[in-house]
Amino acid sequence: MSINKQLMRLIQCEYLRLEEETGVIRTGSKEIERQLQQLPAEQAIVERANRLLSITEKNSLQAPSRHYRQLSIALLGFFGILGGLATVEVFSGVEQASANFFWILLALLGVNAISMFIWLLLIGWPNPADQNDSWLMSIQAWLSRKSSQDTSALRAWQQAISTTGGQQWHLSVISHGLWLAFLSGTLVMAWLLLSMRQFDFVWETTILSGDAFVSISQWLATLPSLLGIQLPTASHVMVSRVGESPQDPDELRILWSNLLLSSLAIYGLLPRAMALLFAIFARRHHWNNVLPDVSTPYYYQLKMRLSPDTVAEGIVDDDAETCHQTHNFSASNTATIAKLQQLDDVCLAGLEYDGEWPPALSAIGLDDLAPIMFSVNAIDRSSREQLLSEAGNNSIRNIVLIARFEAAPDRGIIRLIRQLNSKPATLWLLLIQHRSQPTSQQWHDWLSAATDAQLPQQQVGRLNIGIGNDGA
Amino acid sequence: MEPKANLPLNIAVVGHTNVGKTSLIRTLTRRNSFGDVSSSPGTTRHVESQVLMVTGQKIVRLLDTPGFEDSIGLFDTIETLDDGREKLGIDRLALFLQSKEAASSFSQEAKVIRQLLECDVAFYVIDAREPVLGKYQDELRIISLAAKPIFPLLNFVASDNSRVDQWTKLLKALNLHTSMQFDSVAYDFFAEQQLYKKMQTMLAVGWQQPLELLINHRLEAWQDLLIAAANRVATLLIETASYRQAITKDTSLASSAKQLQQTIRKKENTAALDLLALFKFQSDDYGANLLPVSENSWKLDLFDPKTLKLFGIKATSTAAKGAVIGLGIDMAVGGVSLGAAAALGALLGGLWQTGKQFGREAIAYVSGERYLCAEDNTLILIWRRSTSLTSALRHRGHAAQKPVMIAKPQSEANTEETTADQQVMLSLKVARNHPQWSKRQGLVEFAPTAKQRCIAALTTIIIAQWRETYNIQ
Repeated sequence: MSINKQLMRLIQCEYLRLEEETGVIRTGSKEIERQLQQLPAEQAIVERANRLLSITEKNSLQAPSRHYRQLSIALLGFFGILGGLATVEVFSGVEQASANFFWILLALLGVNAISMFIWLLLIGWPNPADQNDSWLMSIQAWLSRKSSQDTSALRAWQQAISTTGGQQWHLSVISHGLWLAFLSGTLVMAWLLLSMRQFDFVWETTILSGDAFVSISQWLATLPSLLGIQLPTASHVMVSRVGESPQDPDELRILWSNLLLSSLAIYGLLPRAMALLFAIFARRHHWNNVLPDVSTPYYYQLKMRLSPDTVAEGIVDDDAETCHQTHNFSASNTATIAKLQQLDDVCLAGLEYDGEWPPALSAIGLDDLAPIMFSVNAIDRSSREQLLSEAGNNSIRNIVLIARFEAAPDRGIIRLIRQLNSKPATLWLLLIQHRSQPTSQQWHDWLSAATDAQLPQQQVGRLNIGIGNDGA
Repeated sequence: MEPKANLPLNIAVVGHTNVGKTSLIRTLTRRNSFGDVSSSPGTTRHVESQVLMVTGQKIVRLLDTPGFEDSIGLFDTIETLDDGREKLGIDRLALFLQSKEAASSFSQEAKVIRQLLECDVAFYVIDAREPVLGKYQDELRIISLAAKPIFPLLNFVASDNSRVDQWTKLLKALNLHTSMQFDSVAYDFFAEQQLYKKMQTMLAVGWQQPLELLINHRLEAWQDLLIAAANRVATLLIETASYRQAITKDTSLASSAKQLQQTIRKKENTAALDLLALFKFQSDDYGANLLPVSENSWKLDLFDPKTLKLFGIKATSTAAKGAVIGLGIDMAVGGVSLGAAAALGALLGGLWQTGKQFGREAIAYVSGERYLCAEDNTLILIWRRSTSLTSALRHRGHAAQKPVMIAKPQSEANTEETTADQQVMLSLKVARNHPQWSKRQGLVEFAPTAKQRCIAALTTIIIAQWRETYNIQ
């Protein structure tokens, strides 16, 4: 297998993948990934592997190819010899040096023609080997394992080749190559035999007409004759029939030998060679376009790393106040609610209270409260101002500020609490919790807000109307 | 002709404190590590930026800002700074930025206003669960002084108690007719696409092409992500289906069964973690206390009949937790290889493989070895659970704080194998006969081609089933 550059790149990627999937991260990979961010993702993946692998590793990745080449040469030689032996076998059947031309041609090219025909039929089929590994691949893998020590390199090869698809081209190259070797052996051995031994070519038939053989031989001769080779003419064919005695047997022998050898070359070797070239080109075309399959999780994530969707630019405008106050608060505030229920006179104030205003006391979990002097829900500027002016009234002794526990106590809320707290009346903050999940963080936030507004913790209470008074 | 837009598009993400500005950016950028998120007000106190890229090109810059807190006070301050002369809104904001209040009590708000004056667009983020209050109106009035296009963005719209209608009404009253809805916790990819598309229609012509690029890139990445997830699930299923646990003379059936269970659980857990990582939900991004998988139903016992029931599978027999595989030759050749025997190569391949397999099985038979493998019900359970997980991750915003929850996928009534199950199980039959496929990295003597092809085929089936049956887009 000639090492296709692009395929080699994929093999390098696969080698790295197999390594990284076991959790190994090479030093420098982050830096290289950063450098490659300008490239298109697929190219960057390939280039990353190229940069991360050492020269030794790259060389070791060539090893399966070297083994494969050695194996190929051995196999080609083997099939060449096989072809030669087959030819000897075919000719050894010849009795009394008179060889049946058409029988020999059929014996030498028949199986080849059938196999070629099957190949032509199946080449349009996308996946001849559907669910099993093809036997050639399995043998190849098995042989490579026997000859190679570096299994990780071999694995990378297998993965790369198996993910690329295009296996039929690879298999075609192998089968055409072996057939070509076989036919070459046949041709060489046929030439040797015809050079060293003397055969009288004849033909015979029982049920077919003699004209058929004449036309077959003339048809066979069409292509070779274009090359200017001397070939038997119709009259030559007629006199070669078994039992006839030709006038010039030497010339006839040469003419028939010419036809045999040129037929082997043109109808056996040439189509194979052409198919081999075609398969090689198809395979090269296929391999030239192979890219890592980014639909697999590994490559998807690698692609996302190399070509990130988002980039952090960090802090643009930093917070000058480095120190934020942290407070420690008790987890519960049981006494507040009880105290609330005992107040003399009360004014009800809503702090961005959400819902019907004023709320029915039972609806917010309070059964009983002193007579309410007034009530305002501060939801916007004007209602805030109204609340602040009414709260300034000296006759008011207690203000119960009702807020949603779920609301975030922002600085605007803290400012209002502080302003109300500065009034002569005592300020109580009552938080109504609607959702049942307990959130200690929110309780902490509210107590922290109250502290910021100089409101004592004892004046902050919480009622959970989702699941009732939780005693906080 | 509109001048060419100056990339990236600067978007100031502004809004009241605690409405989920940082959450929104986390979800839009798929980074759950961005900024700090908590339920307390004023969590973000600085301006931080994050850029959306398309193949190395910066398209959109999202600027996370501190929240407005005392909007009423701020508005009053800006009003009082007025020196009586007629002024543009931006000049009034500039005047505010020079005031002593901007450096002291309103330093957080000053940061927001600085970004507002510099940005191309402002996203005004609204917590749709919150009541419509006066302070928000004041905020919008302040923001409008900056004379920048404002996109009100209703966050947490998927929540039960969201008040989208009330908010839309207010926004319309303030002349903001195009509002966008998005939920940074319950993520919806198509809502995100809608968001960029709406921006396209509202912004100058020069922005349309870059935004189109972003929209298409995001869509591509989203589809690729689904394929990658399906591929991971397919790999898990194939590797589980093909796994066999040998019962040797020295080991008891119980210990082998235990070993089988442990191996398969580990495989599933690894796959779940891989899926989380694919969707960029890394465990270390959450910190130790929020590990989303181990805390939840993923820790459930796969082989527990109760778990099987939870996922709507009737355990045919609790005793047969593993099925003993005898000689596999009849199934291996008859069922699998001959179907593909149309091609000569495949037939030979089948014989080659089967021969090997037969040899091994025969040796095992003679030496009294038996294998345990996962039951079909277990495979269906794994398939349904990974589907649930994928579905959950598909709709999970990167602002989500709670661990991944696996929804109950089937009702009690639907305990039979569905067509989706059957399709998947059918393609797993092949894997049953290839124990060598259960290894993550196969043995060298087996070319991985067939396994690869099987995974690819199953991936296609899974994607089709997800789209059709489970509505995972």
